Amino acid sequence: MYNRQVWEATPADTPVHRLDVRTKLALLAAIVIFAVGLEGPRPLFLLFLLSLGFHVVARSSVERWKILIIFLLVGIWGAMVSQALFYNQEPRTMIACLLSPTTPWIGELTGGIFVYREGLEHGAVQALRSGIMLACGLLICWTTDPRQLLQCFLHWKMPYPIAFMLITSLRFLPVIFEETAIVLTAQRLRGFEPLRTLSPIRWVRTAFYVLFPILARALRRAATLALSVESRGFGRCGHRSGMAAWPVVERFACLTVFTGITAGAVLKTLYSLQFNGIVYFPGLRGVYDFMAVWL
Amino acid sequence: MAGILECRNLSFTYKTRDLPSIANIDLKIEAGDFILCTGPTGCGKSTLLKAFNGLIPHEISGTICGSMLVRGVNSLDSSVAELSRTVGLMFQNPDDQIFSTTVVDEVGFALENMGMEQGAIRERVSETLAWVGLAGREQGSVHALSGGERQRLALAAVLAVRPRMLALDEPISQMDPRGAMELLQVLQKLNQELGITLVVVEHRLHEVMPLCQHVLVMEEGSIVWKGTRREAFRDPDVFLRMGLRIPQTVHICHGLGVVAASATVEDAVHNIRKAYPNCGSVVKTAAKIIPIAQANSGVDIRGLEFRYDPKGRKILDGINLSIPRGQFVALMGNNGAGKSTLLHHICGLQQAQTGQVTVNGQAVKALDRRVGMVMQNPDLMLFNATVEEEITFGLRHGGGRGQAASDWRPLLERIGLAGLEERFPLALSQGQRVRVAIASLLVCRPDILLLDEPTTGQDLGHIDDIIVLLQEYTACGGTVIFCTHDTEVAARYAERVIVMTAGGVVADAPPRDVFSREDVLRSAGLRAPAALRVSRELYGGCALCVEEVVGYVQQASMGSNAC
Amino acid sequence: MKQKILTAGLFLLLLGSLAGLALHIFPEFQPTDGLSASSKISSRVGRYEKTAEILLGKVEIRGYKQMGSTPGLVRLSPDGARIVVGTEAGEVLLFDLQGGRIWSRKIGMGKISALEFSQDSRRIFVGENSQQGAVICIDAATGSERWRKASVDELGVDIRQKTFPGIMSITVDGVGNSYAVALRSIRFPNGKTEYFARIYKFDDQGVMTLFPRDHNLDVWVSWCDVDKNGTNLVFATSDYTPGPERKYKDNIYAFDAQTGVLRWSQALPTVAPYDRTNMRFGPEISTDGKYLGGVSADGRAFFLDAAGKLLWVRTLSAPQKIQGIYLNATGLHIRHVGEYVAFSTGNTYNRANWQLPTPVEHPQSNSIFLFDRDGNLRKRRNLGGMVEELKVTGSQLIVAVGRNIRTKDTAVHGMVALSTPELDIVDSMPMEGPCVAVAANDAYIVGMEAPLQMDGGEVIGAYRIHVWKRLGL
Repeated sequence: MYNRQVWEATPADTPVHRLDVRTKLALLAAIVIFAVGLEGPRPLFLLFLLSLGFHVVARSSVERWKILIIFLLVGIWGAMVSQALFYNQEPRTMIACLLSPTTPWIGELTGGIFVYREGLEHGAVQALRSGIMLACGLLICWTTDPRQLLQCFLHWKMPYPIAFMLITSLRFLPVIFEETAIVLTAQRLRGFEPLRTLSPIRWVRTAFYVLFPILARALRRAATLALSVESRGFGRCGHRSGMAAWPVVERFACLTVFTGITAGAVLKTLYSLQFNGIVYFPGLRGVYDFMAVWL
Repeated sequence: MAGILECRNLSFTYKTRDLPSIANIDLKIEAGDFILCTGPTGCGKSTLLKAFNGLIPHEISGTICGSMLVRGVNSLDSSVAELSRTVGLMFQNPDDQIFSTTVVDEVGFALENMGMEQGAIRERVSETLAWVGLAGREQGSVHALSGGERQRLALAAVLAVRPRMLALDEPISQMDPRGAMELLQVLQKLNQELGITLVVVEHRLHEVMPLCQHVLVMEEGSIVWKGTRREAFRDPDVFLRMGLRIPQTVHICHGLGVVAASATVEDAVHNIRKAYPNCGSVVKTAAKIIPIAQANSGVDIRGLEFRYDPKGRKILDGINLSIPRGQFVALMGNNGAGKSTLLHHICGLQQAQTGQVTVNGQAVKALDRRVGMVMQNPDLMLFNATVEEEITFGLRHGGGRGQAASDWRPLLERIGLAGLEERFPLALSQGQRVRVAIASLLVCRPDILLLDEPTTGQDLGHIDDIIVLLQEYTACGGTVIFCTHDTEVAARYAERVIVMTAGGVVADAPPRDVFSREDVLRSAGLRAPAALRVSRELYGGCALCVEEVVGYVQQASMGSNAC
Repeated sequence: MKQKILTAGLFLLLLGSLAGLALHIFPEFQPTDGLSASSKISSRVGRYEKTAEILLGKVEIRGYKQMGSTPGLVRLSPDGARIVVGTEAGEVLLFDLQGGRIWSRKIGMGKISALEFSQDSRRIFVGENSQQGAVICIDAATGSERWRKASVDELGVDIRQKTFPGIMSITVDGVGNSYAVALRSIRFPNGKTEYFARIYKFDDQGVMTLFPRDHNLDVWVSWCDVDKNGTNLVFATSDYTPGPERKYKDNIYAFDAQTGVLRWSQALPTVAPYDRTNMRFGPEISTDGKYLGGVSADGRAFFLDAAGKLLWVRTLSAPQKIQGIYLNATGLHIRHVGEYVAFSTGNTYNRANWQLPTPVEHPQSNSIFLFDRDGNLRKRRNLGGMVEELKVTGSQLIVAVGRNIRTKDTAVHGMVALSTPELDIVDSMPMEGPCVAVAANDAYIVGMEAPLQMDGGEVIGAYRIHVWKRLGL
């Protein structure tokens, strides 16, 4: 994880790398919308597998897979465990009792700590959602040159300071991770074991110890980069080169996907309207059934 | 030559400061000139460069007075985008400037900002890369480039728009000698063959001065000296007074009262011989007295091997070394030789895969407290809120040998930071930050102190301060091992030089012996200090510093060289 | 080496987590259908052998505090070859007798409320509770939909208040017709209720006839029965807030199933403390068409002739006032068994509020009562748990025994085969969880089990069906 290049975008010759940056961003947006809009665990799971499949196609290195897996496992199990313990909607089915309500004092105080099946399921759905977005987001970061992203944002009329901020953060997050590792090592070299403690006070202290040098470096670096790109003509004035033509096939594919999303959004809206008792169209019963079963 | 840039009574005060950072600058830069701009840290060099391409005042807030004309147009009437097509600006650290992942994208960025058409961009990029010696690397990843190549890429990124003038802010300060040489060769070519005007801000005068045509010296925001290179060679006092590092050949000539026409060894030897005809006799030079290091302790390395990747090449290949206590050792070699990895093994950051590393007879543990290490970027070692907290940090976490908490105060005075106890360490100057980092380790009195490139980017005064600290430490029985590319510093201060290449030790001897071996130095990408080369040419000697050569020649001319 | 192990471990952990998730999300991939030859399970007496045990997916697990069991429906096809199941999750599944799944179909956003095979076993009728409250006719061979009829056209819907029409039950006659009872009920904040009910008749082509033809029934109707010739259609009513505005005030109605003309209606006497006789299940016409029996919620059994004359009334469980609380065991099922008629009672409830505890168990709760046609009680048997469903096969009664909310005895869960008229236990097929539905013919018994959460949190049983084959046939 200390290898910075694992985090940074690297060029390669895979179908994912070859995709136009606009296609990648459009598909990312589409996937995110799907992930947020879908509620059924089945389509979410399939979408999750698809997002992992993209990493296979992009031939992500073993190191990158390790990073991805760690984040995904933390997300999956963290969400499931937290929801399993704190789920408070009905119905809920207790599948294990961690602390009986009859335990003296703490049992009465807490009312007992249970593991709820519906909580696990709800947590799994949330984890799949966040996992999809994480996997696809990392894929974009790892397969797309930051400069191309910047080009695309500007082409899509994003205000240049915001576009630049986004790209800079993407570009230098790996550097910050690497420097964080170095700072932690430096602390350990001086006898401070930042992570081998259960003391929250120490964690807070460690956070500050890490924050100072990282922030200082980041500020200096950001200032230099900003000056450097300004010195190369990037800024408010002037007309930038247009991007290369968006390949027709990719553009059509994105259009199709977004048409699908729009249609899905319309259907979801209709479904919500009938679910909330606002309006129901008998002629759309088939659509409602499809939504209820699959989405 | 026509003028390309002219400053008229130019002053600038940053928004957050009271005093101007540049004051009353009157300067005219002719097209095709190669100007070296130097001065102590904080004298306003970088501010001046930023004014050249319009960053000041368009992007950096402050109060500007006076005017600056770039090709006859007032800079206040042009945007940075327009000015950058005439004046390109490059900074010190390429990693802070490069943000694409491929070479072609990085170089093409500026052209896109100009609105150039894609086909033309490709052509221009290829041409520019050929100028900087990166031809054919268009599709390469920036991560695959060496440090020197990345700096040349940063240069290409600026050069792509074909500026008439390049302003470079300490472009070689972070680079190893080979990388620095390659970049300087490129710059020279750009200046001589393409007529691009260069203004280079640098501390490493000994490398840049021989190439430039004019020199500017700044102090406290003003230009205190300007002249041709020749004039600078004739009057090096102004540089020496500021602690700037002039070429050793010029320094030797100055010490001997000889006018240096250039910085080459040949010229220096020729001119010295003219002035001191008797200095050519071969006599023994008094050997430097090296204190006897204490044996049976220190660092002992036996059969050390290490690879990052089991299938990759060996980073350390059968290292056998014994470094006694109290020794001051310079560890040198080209990039990728394994120097930093060796240091990591000594401090316990990495564990030996084969072989053994012991300190004072005991095997090195992970993160051994007996060994202190100053990292290549000491900023990442400063994480406390005040200098006092930083220096006492190690003591508060179990370091030290029972010394009192107040022991650190004398140390603070010795490193010249008395009165700065309550300052935020990261807000100090670069030299001060390095000294705080070293002091924070020294206060715990480790047996071994490791330093990774501690003098990079430092001016001479700061280097001396650091060395004094380290010499005191070795005098008390501590062992110092420092990595450096700087042969002059190693020759001057180290008792022993270890040269590594491709994971192995190719030389391990006192500096005099090591720097006499051209083959070893060449294989490690090093060059013998100019003083040694002058002494060798002059009298077949093996001097390690300017004072030695001057002393010898003066002695020889008086007809005696008593030991 | 350590790195490689760590890497492999990470990958395995992810794959394992995903596999676990996948199995949970896609239960159809779980290997559950059928039993291997080595795992033969016999009934308690040994007359039956289990041939299949099939999990039906996730379902909300109920405990003793929730009214009613986990819903589910199971039917055997008249030709004895197929089992159809309707689950709480809205899925219709068709199995063979070895537990092999033939097809499954989700009905979408409705809840399955009724299920029946056509007489020729070629069609399956599914009733749903939804905004449309449709009867859906499915081709039994392929699982494809043939037609559907939405009851919303007659009963209306209020999607804001979520008062939806639903098919309460479906029955078939012996000449190819099917009959569906549809109901929509509204409970107002002031406690008043309003009902819209209709009975739909479909011939084998799906042509529909309505009962009544031109207006809705303004009472609760949840059951109907038809004689095998398809001439006599009877249904009983309930009304929890009776009033003079009601048009249908009587308790049992009989229509000519072919002309739609009302033949007769019968008002049944009330019993204190109730002000109306409510019949949620029944009546049922005897196989010979000469009699019909009915059971009321207040625990009384009724026996009438085909003309509607009340022949006798028997009290199965009289409401008892104990410690100031009225208790009763509600009357549930009525089944004709040859020359006898069986009635069942359910759990003990507090009349004021079913969720409130009762001081004692009603002595006649959870029981089967067998009478002859003259009204003589031949036998009573307490089954220890709720009689969830009662089926007749030959001269046997097959009982689905569910939870006992009073004793919470889980040993009673399962299916019981009772002889008639002795009501002796011929055999029993225990289950961990309560048995909530049963289907039976001479050769097979199929029971649906539901999971149950005990008061301590432990969950017993699972949502599945058990298929038992009678030996020696």
